[in-house]
Amino acid sequence: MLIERAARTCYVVVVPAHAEEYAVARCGRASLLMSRLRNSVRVARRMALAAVAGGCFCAAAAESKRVEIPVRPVDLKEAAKVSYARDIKPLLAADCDECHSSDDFKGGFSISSAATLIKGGKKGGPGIVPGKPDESSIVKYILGLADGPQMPKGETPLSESELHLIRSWIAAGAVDDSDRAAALANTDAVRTNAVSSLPADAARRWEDVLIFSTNRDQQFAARRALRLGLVAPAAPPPKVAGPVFNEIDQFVEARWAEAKLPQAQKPPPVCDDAAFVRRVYLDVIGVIPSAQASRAFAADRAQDKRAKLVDALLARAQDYAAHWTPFWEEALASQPSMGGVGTHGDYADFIYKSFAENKPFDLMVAEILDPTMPGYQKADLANANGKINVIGFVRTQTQTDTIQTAANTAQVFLGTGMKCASCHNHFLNKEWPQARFTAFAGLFATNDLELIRCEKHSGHFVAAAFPFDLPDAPKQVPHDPEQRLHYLTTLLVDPTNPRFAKTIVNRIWKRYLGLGLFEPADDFRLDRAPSHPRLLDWLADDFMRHNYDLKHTIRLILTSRTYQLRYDPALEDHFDVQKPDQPRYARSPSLRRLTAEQFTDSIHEAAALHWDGVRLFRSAASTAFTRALGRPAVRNEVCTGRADDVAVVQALELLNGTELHDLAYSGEVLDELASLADRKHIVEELYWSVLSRAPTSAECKLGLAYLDANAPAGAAAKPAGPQERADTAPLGDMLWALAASPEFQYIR
Amino acid sequence: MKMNRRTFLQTSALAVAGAGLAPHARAADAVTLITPTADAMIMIWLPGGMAQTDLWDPKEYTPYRKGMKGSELLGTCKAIPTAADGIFLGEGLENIASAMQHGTILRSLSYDTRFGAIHLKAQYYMMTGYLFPTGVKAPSMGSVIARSAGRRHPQVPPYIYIGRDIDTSDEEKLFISEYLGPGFYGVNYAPFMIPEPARGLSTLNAAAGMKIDRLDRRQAYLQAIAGAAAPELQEADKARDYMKVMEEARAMMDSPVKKAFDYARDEKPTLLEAYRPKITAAEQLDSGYYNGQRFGEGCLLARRLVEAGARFVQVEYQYGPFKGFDMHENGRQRMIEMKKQIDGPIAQLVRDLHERGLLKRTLVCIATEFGRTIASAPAAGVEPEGDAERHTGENLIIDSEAMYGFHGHFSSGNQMLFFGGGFKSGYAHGQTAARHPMVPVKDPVHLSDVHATIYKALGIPPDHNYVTEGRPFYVTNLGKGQPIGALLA
Repeated sequence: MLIERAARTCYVVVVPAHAEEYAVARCGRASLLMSRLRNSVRVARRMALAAVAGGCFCAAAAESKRVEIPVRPVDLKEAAKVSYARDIKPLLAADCDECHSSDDFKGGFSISSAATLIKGGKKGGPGIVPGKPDESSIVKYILGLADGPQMPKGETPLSESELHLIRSWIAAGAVDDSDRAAALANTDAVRTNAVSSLPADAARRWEDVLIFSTNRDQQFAARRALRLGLVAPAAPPPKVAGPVFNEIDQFVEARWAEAKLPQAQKPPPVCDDAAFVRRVYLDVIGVIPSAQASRAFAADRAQDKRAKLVDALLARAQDYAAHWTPFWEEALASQPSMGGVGTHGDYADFIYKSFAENKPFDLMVAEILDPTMPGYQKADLANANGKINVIGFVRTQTQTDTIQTAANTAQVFLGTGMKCASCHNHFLNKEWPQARFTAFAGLFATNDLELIRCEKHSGHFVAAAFPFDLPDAPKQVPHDPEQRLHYLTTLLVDPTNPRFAKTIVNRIWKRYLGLGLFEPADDFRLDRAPSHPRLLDWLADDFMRHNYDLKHTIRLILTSRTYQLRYDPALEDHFDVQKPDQPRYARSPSLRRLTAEQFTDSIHEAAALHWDGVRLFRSAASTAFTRALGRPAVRNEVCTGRADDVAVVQALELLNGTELHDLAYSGEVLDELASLADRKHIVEELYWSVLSRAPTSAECKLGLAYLDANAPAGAAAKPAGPQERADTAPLGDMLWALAASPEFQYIR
Repeated sequence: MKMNRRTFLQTSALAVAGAGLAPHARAADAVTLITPTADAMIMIWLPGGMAQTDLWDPKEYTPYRKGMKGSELLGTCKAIPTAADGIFLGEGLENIASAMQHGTILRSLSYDTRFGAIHLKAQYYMMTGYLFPTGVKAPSMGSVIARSAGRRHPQVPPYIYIGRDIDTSDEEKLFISEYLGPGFYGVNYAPFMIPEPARGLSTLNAAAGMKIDRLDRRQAYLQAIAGAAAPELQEADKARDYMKVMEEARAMMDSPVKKAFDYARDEKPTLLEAYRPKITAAEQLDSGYYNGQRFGEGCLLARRLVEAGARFVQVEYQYGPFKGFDMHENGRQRMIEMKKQIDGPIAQLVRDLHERGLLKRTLVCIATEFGRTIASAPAAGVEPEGDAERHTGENLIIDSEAMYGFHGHFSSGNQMLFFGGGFKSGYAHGQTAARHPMVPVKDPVHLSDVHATIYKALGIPPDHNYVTEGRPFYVTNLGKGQPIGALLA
C-alpha cells in the first residue's frame, strides 16, 4: 500500500491490490486519517461492486435483515473534538430528517435539537445517555439492537465511521455547542462518510447522487465509482511472444507483429543505465541526477533498480510537482495580474499543490471549472485602477469570453480543436458544425447563445448541450449559472465521456515518449485514428479505474519496456500533419529538447551552484535566455506545448549570452575539479557531473588535450578574463561545451 | 498564387510545409505572393498615446487662460508649414516638417474598440492587429514580416528590436515583450533584441571579456565532443540542426550586423549630433527618466542595420506608465519636451535614407497606440465607453496650467506617418473635426486596412496565413484587411 500525503488538506490515495478497492478520501485531520482510510476503502469497494453489478446500491440494506456495523473503541481525546453543530447535526439531518424532523416525528422522536435527542422517543428510553453511548437508544436503533427495525428504516445503515462519530460525541458528554456554530463554521469538519447513507435505490439515478450527501468531495468520488460501472472494460492486452515489462509493451509489440516488422522477431534493446537515469530524472523531476546519484545507479546490481528509481522519483512530491507546474500554468494561461490585462488568474499554487498531493485528475479539473466544488479555484486580479476582479479559467463577461473559454476547455481537457467552429462550421473537421460548438459554449454562459456566423447575428439561439451523448446523463440544463458549470463539469470529467481520460493519458504519453498516441494532441478527431487505438483505450480505462491517479499511469509508462527503449534515429517516429496516417510504431522514443526550466535547473545541478533548490519555474522574471529557450514571458493564451525549435537567437544566447556564461563559470564544481591532481579524474568528474556517465576513452583524450592546450600544467597562469581565474576558466570552458552539446540539450 | 479563405483548403499544405521546415531551410518559408514596393521597414514605435493635435494634426492654437472651457482648448501650439504644400505640423517639429515632402500622414485612423485606460491592450492591437486576448499567441508585425518576407541577408536577423529593456519581472514589461514577440511562429521569428544601442556591440562581442580566440577554441572543443558522441546522437536530424545553428550564431558574431554597431567611429560628428535629442535628461519634467539619447542612436542604428541587410527594425521610445508620451498632466510642457526628443532623430533618419537612395525601397512608419483628447480626470485617463466621442468640453473647466493639454485616451482618433517604401509623398489622408470631439470626419480607416497596406508594400497579401492548431491564422485581422490604395504611390 502506498500512501501519498500532503501537508494541509489531505488527499489520501490508497492503492491496494484489487482494482475495485481504490478509493479516495479527503480528510481534514491527520490524526483521524487511518481509521477513515480503512472505512473509505470499504465503502468504496462496496460502491464499486454495486456499480459493477448494475449501477445501484441495492445490495446493502434490506429491512428484515440486521446489518452488522463494526463498533470501534472510543478515544476520548479524539471524541472531545467532535462537535454537535458541525458534525453530528448535519449527519443526523441527512440520515434521519425524513421521519424524525420537528415537523414529523415518528415514534415521538425528533432529531431537531440536542435536547430532543437526549429525550428520546416513546419507547426505548432516553435517546442519549451522555457519556454512555451504548446505553443510548439512538445507538441501539442504529445498530439494529433495539426493539424495532434498524435505523434508518429501509435505508442503507450508517457507516462504521458515522456510528463512531455519534458514539464519540455521546461518550464525550453529548455537549450541545449550537451557540458556537458560527465560530465552528470555519474549522475543519470531522467529516462523515455520507456516501454510505445514500438510500438504497437512490443512486441509480444521476441526479440523486447530487442531492444526497452534503460532502461534495465524497459525492464526487461516489458518482465517479457509480458511473465507472457504466463503462465497458477495455479489451485486455494481447498476448505477445517478445519480452514485456508490463501491459503497455504487449500492445506495442503486438502492433509490431501485426505490421510484420522485424522488431517483432528481434525487439530493439532497452537503453543503457546512463541514458535511463538521465531520462527518468529529467522526465519525473525535471533535473539531471547528481554525479553521485548517477554513479550509485550505475553500481546498483539489483534487477528491479529501474522500477525502484521510478518509484523513488515519483515519491519526491515537491520536485515532481515543480516539473509539472509550468506545463499546466501554460495550459491554463495562468498568470498573475499583468498591469490590469491578465486573462485567467494565477493558478500556480493550486497546480503545484495539486500535483504535490497527487490529486485525482478529474477532481483537479472540477476544482478549476465547477464553482460548487469545495476546492474551487479562482484568483483575484487587480486591474489598472486597482479594482479587484475575481477571475478564473472560466470567463463569461462577454460572448467572446465565453466562446474562448469553451474553446480553451475543449482544447485542454478534451484534446479537441474547436476554435474554427466558434465563427463558422469547422471546415477542416466535419465533427464540429458551429451549432454543436455553440451548444457546448452555452453551458458556460448564463443563457443559450446566439449563433453568430463570422460576426453576423443570425437571431437563432442554440440550446445549450454537452456535445457528447453520455448514457443516462440528464438532458435538462440548469438555469443557475453555477449549477450550469457544475452540470458541464460533471459531464466533462465523467467516465463515459469518450475524450476526457484519453486526452490526459495521451498528454502523459506524449510527455514521456515525445509523440502522442494521437497527434496533434489538441486535435483529437474521429477521422484520424490514434497510432495504437487499443492501447489508448486500455490506458484511459486503466487510468479511470485507478481513480484518475496520474502517478499510477506515469509509473506504468515509465516502467514499461517501451519507455526504456534505446533512442534510435532510424526507428524514431515522426508526425507530419500532411501525412497523419503514416504509422507510428513506438520502437524508439523521440529525441526531446530540454525545456528552459529543465536546462536551467540542470545546469545548476551540474555546476554545483548554490541554488537552494529554487527552481526556474518559481521565477517571475523573463530574460533573453529564458525566452530564447522557449519559456514565455507571459501566459495569456492557453498553450499545451512548446515548440522545440532551434534558432540563431537562441544559439547566440548559449554561445555568447552572459546568463549561461555566469552559470557555467561560477559553480563550485570548478573549484573541486581544480583541486584534483590527476587530470584524467578531472575529465571523468566533468562527464559524470554534466552528462551523468563516464567518458569514453576518445572523450577522455579530447578532454585532456583541451586541458593541456589551455591550462598547461606549471605554466604561469595568465588571467583568462577580467573576472576569471586561470585555473578554473578552462574547466568552465569544458563544462560549457558539455552543457551546450546535443547530448545535454536533448533527452535521448 | 493568391491565397484566401476559400482557397485555404487546397493550399494549406503549403503553409503547413513551411511551418514544419528545418531551420536551415526556413528561407523557403517566406512566400512572396505580390510584388513588394519595399525591401525593408523601420517601425518607429512611440507608445504612450501621442497627442495627435500637437503633432501631426494641429488645430487652432488656443493659449492657456485660467478658467477656460475644455471646448476652448483646441491646440497647445502653433501650426507650422511643412515642405509639403498644404500640410501643417505642430510647432516643435521643424525637422520633420522639412522632410514632409517624402511622407504621408494618415489622420483618420479610428478603432471600433474603446480601450479605456488600458494602454497595453491598445498597444497589442497596433502591434498584432488582433484584440487581446486572441485565443492564439498572436505574432507581432516584425515577426509577420520576418517570416513572410524572409531574410535579406543570410547573416542578418530579419527582425531586430531596438530600445526596450527586456530582462524583467515587471508585469507590464513582460506583457509588452510577449506582444513584440513571434507568438505561435516560435523562436525562429523572435526579435533580435538590442536594448541599448550604445552597448549593442557587446551582444556580438564575446561575453564576459572572453577573448575571441578562446571562444573559438571552446567552440572547436564542442564540435569535437559532439563528434565523439554516441552514433545515434550524431545521426539525429535534430542534433545536427542544433549544431548547425550553433555555427550560424558564431558566424553572426562576425557578420555585417556587428559592423552596424560601430556608428560612433564610422559616422561624422555632425551626423551623430543630428541624431541627438535637443534636451538633456536634467531638463526633463521626469528628470530621472529615460532620455531620448538611446532613441536617437536607435534611429541611426536602424538605418545602418537596414544598410547591412535587415528586413524589419523596430525602434521604440521606451514606454513607461505616466512617462514620456503617456501624459496625464502638464500636457503642453510634455509635448514640447517630447518633440525635442524625437524631431531631430526621425527627420535625420528620413534624410539619411533619402540621401543614400534607400528611402524608395525602405518603409519608415511612425505609430502610437491611440490618440489623445481633453479629459476631465487627467490623472486617471479613464475613458468611459463612448464618452470621449461625445465630449465637447463645454462642461470642462481648465483651472490650472497642469490641466492644460490633451490628457484623455482617445481610441477614436489615432494617426500615423509613413515615409518611402511605395507610400505617397507629401500627402495627408483623411480629416478630423476642428472641435471636440476631434473624430475623423473624412475617410476614416480601420487598423486592419492599414496593416494590409503596410504588408502589401512588403509583398504580403492581407490574407496570407500560417497554420496553428489546425487552422489558418491571418497576417491581418481574420484576413480581412484591404490595402488602402490612396496611401500608396
